[in-house]
Amino acid sequence: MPELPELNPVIHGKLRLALLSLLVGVEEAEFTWLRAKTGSTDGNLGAQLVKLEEAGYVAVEKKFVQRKPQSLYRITEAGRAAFIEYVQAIKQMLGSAI
Amino acid sequence: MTTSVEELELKDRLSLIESMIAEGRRTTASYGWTFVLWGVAYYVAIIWNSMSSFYLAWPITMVSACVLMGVLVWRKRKNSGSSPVTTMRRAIWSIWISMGLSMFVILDAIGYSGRLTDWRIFAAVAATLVGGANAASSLTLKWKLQFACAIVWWTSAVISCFGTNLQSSIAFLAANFLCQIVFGIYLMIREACARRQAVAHA
Amino acid sequence: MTVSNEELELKDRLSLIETMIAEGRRTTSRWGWIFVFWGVAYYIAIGWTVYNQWPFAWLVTMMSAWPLCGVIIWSKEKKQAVRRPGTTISRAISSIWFALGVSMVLIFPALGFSGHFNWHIFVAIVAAMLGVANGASGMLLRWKAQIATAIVWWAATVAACFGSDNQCTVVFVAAIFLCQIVFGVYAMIFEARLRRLEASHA
Repeated sequence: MPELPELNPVIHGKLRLALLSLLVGVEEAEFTWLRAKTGSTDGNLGAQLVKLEEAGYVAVEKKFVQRKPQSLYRITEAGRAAFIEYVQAIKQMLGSAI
Repeated sequence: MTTSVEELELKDRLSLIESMIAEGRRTTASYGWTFVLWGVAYYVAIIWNSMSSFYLAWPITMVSACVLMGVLVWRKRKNSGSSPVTTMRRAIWSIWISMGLSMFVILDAIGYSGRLTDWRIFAAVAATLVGGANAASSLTLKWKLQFACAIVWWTSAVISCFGTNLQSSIAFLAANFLCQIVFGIYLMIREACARRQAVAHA
Repeated sequence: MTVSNEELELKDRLSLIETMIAEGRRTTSRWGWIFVFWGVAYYIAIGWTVYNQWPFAWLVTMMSAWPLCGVIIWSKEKKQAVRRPGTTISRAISSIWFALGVSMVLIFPALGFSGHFNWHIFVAIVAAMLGVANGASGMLLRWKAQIATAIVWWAATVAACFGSDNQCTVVFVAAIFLCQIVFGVYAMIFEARLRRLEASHA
């Protein structure tokens, strides 16, 4: 029996999965927008984004807009490829279950 | 083999992905008003030019419309908060900004060089450029109705070449009415319905 | 074993998600050779017109170049081992250039056959339209080199309206050289470097 793929643990976390799903559809997104869409707290959101950044799945650009700090997040090509692999792994796992 | 609990969890993840992708793509942006604004601007320029033969009627009207649109877009962005830009939206803006710049450059150049001796050439060039922009947008958005607008503009351009001044004017005015005013209002109504649906589902 | 509706629905949902994720990929293809191709086509048409004074030289050259370009694109795509799904950017770029092509095919014969042909107006319109396409593509790809070609085309639009017929021709020939040949070769070198980089990281 062929071995079932393992799900990427970095992406499998619910909040991290939600973040990648949001970023996949946009060019870049502000921290505040991601917080509003996920309903997460600043601390938790920041921690999850750092994990994604460390994995190379998300890139951040920090700048000042009208003297206010702004953090813009973007999914990287590596993040996109990892996300596709994750979805394909779910496909395989669900395919064997049905 | 995955258990039924794992299967439920995977399906739950799947639903999460779908809902978040949809959330990310959801936009409250509205574009219908831009079509109506430019439709009105063309009419203002045509009437001003024909009533007073003021050679700056077109440039002044177009620049004013551009400034007004810039102000309205800036205000909308300020009110909508930090919503991100999608590639699709950037593509559409690129097409229309580029078209606007080209139209401004060519119509002023042929006007001031004295080569604009025939209203029909002006109408043909303007209609072709606007038709091209509508076609490019519609193919990007996969929107047949907007491609129909492109065809109307291109038809107007061809009529301008072959018809009399009066026929050319009628073709241009009719294309402007259908593809800017009517299309723009239709778009505004569609966007308003979509916003109401989004609020109802929230 | 029959495939249940639930399984089909699940497969559809997963396929759609994969497509949406892939859609946002940045495109690495720039199609530099097409710029060189069309630059050569324009030179052939200009040369043919100047030496033969044949009024259909442009029409015949363009009508021959378009299908040839299509065949080359089709054969290149067929050679690809794995067909990657289209991206939003590549769809927008194709739409922009397709709309440009259709606009040109409509307006130039119409102007020609209706007796409105004027060399200065022709060059100005070609330059303005190429300005639109390069400007929109350059803004979308965030590629300064292509935005620069749009600016050159817009400058050519203005220059074409002033001066003599010969000066207009010189402007056109120079713009084609810079924006089609030089830019096309630069784009081909850029793409080759990108492909080498991708191959070394694979």
